[in-house]
Amino acid sequence: MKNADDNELPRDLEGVHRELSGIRIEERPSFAPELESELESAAVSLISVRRRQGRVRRTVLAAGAAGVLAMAAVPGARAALVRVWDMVLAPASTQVATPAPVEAAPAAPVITQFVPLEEAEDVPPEPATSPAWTDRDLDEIRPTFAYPKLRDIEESERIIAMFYPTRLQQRGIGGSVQVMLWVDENGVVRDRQVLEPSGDRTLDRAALNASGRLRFEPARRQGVPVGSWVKFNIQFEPPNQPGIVRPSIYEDESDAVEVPADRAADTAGAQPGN
Amino acid sequence: MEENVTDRTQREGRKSTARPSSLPPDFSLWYRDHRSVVYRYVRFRVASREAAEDVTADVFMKALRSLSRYDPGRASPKTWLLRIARNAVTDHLRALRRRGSLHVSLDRVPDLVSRDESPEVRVVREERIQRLLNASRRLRQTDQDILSLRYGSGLSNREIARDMGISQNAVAVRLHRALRRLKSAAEEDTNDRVSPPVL
Repeated sequence: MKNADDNELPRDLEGVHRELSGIRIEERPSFAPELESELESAAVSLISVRRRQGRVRRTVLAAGAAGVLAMAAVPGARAALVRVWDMVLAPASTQVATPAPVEAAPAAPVITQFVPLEEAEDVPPEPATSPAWTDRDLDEIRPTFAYPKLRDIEESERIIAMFYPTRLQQRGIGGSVQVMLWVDENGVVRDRQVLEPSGDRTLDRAALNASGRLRFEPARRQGVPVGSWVKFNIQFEPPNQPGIVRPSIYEDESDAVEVPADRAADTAGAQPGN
Repeated sequence: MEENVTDRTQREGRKSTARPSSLPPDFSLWYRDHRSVVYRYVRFRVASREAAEDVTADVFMKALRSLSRYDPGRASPKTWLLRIARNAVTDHLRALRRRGSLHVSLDRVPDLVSRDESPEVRVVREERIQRLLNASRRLRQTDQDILSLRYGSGLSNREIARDMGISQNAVAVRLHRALRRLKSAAEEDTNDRVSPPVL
């Protein structure tokens, strides 16, 4: 073990150095293969443990995704999912959903307070087909994100008038229903939720049914149509005279069409331009 | 001198076709190249061959488990393994201290003396080595460490300097100091034995 380093040693240390350099450490001949075999076994079990952990992780994720998808497929569970989302992620959001003030002038069903996604705080998660967005993603896309818009306001009002139950009109029952709709990239409503009920279940159902028939210009992200949630109020105003539906598409009363309440839907559906 | 890992892996890969190994290729290579250095470092610092084998096994097990954390930009494989070995030896000695058996007499050193020597020479050499190693156990960790790298693993000053990240000059200075302290400690032992303290 003598080398160039040894020349630098002082003389009085040469003896110790010589003694230590004379040490010949010999391994037991079978030690190296024994340890290698041990290491191989450890490597195999390490790999299997990691694979098992990976499988467990994937299974848990798949089960979670399947659970969410299953819940999304069942209307009741979907509503519960939205409520859980609201409670967990947007606890203060319900304060936003105040019903629109009822105007003094009688009017046919009108759509008021169109609230695009940007202002909606209690937005449920997108359907599972869309990737989750982070805040950073939203910051990046906000300047180039266009929210869904109704293709034709008048047509939309007409559709909603069709679904206003004549029984409620005759009794003078109206109200406001706040709904949340998932509008896909083709502008078709694919999912709908009641966020703020009117207090009358028939009216809520009418709002949901009408919402499904609405047509939108889809949201656009950097010019590309994408699915998006949109929230707005649907206000059902009972007519002054029972049995008469006066959709707000007419600017003055002279254009109002008198229709028996039980034929309101048919008449509204037969308007030119439908 | 480090060889090109890729070339050597390919060379070892050809070798390994004869005996398939489940170890990662790089690790398998390191094991073959550096096991002896690690074992000799450990053996120099622990009391027996059995303990050295246990600690060496621990070193490579730890290295295998933390292989994904190895950063070639920070240390060579040998430096990395010796660092793990240093910690493993420290843990081993700490465990012995907890059990109150740190000062184990190094009375089993036949594996440290060449078998080429005659039996008479072997006995004398074994005794001298035993004395030096017993004395070295009383040195500071840093002294023990550099002596183990130099005389256990058989690294040159240049290799130690590279592995420890210090200059060769600094290695030489530390080595001299460690040898001097070892010499003093060994002489104290001898004096104690020759003239026991008066009670």
